Amino acid sequence: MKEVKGKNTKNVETKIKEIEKQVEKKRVELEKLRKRKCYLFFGEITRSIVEDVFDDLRNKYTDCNGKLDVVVNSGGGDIDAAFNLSMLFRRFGNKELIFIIPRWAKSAATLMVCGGDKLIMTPIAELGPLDPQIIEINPIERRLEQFSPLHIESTLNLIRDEFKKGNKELANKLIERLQFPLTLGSFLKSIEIGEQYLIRLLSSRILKNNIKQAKEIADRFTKGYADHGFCITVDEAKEMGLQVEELAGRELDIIWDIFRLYDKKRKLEKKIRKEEMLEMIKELPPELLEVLPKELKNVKGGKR
Amino acid sequence: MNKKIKILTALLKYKGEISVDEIEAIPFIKESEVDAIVNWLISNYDVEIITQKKKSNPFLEWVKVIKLKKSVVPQPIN
Repeated sequence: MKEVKGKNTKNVETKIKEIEKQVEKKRVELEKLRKRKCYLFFGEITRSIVEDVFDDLRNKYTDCNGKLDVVVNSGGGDIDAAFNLSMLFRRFGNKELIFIIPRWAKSAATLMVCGGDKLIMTPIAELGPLDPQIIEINPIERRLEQFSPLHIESTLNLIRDEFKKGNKELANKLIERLQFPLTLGSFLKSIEIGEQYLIRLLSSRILKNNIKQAKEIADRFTKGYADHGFCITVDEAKEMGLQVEELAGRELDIIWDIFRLYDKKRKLEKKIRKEEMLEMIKELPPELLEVLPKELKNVKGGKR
Repeated sequence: MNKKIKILTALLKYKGEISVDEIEAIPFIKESEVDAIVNWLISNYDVEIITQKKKSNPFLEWVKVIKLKKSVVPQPIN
């Protein structure tokens, strides 16, 4: 694939580098202000990123004297990796580990940040529920389905209600479309994964030796919300009993600047990728170009 | 959606891999469709999901990539 780099792309790349410098400057400013090292974790939690974070911490954070801030902006990801990362950050922040959330620490990222001694959130930062999201191919209809194990109970309740109302035919049809009982059972069981990890993390730091409250909070995060995207704000996190503070003053300014700069960088990178993808699409066989959506019909070329 | 998947499939075959960031950057694909498209590719092709480190300075950055395991003939798109 030939690489096309126009003047415009080069300008955008220069802007991105400038933004990266500004982010680094802000990170160092925060370290000076809070008198501790600060790590930026922006992105999805995957299994192999654990290894890269490990390398990064070993290379740059061995001098943190047991005190570490981790700024997290993540929509979540792999729950096992999230637990492992949380334990890893604890090793470097063995005296005090604080997670700072400018905007999102949802799903598995919520689990990760619950492993610290304290959370610091902006007024619009969000945590999220921990019910696992299952993506499976429906064996009967051969289509992808995404659901939470919590939906299994509500589906069974729906069927029970139809039976009670005397709509046996409808209830039977619904049962026929359900998955194999053992599979359903294993999906239901998967809620316990997040619950167990969360109890372990909470009862060993934020709620040290308070296993009862850790269990209550874990139960709420895994089963207490109607939707996986539910917004859990700083006030709700406090009310739950987590050790949480709201960001204010100069610290808020710096953290929000870092978030905004990173967001700007992502948008600029997307702009470059968009141009690259259009170039790639141009090189696709012409028969495929014929099915292009209207907005791309001006793409010329096609490999023959 | 079929047209989008057809082009995505062609790009995947052509490049051998495609990142989630690249899928998001395709102008006719909405952000809300990305997960469904990624899952479709995963369930229809012999692919592996890998995490590629983009850089570690000034801060660690990575991207999720869908990579074809072997040469795959696309399934007919209905």
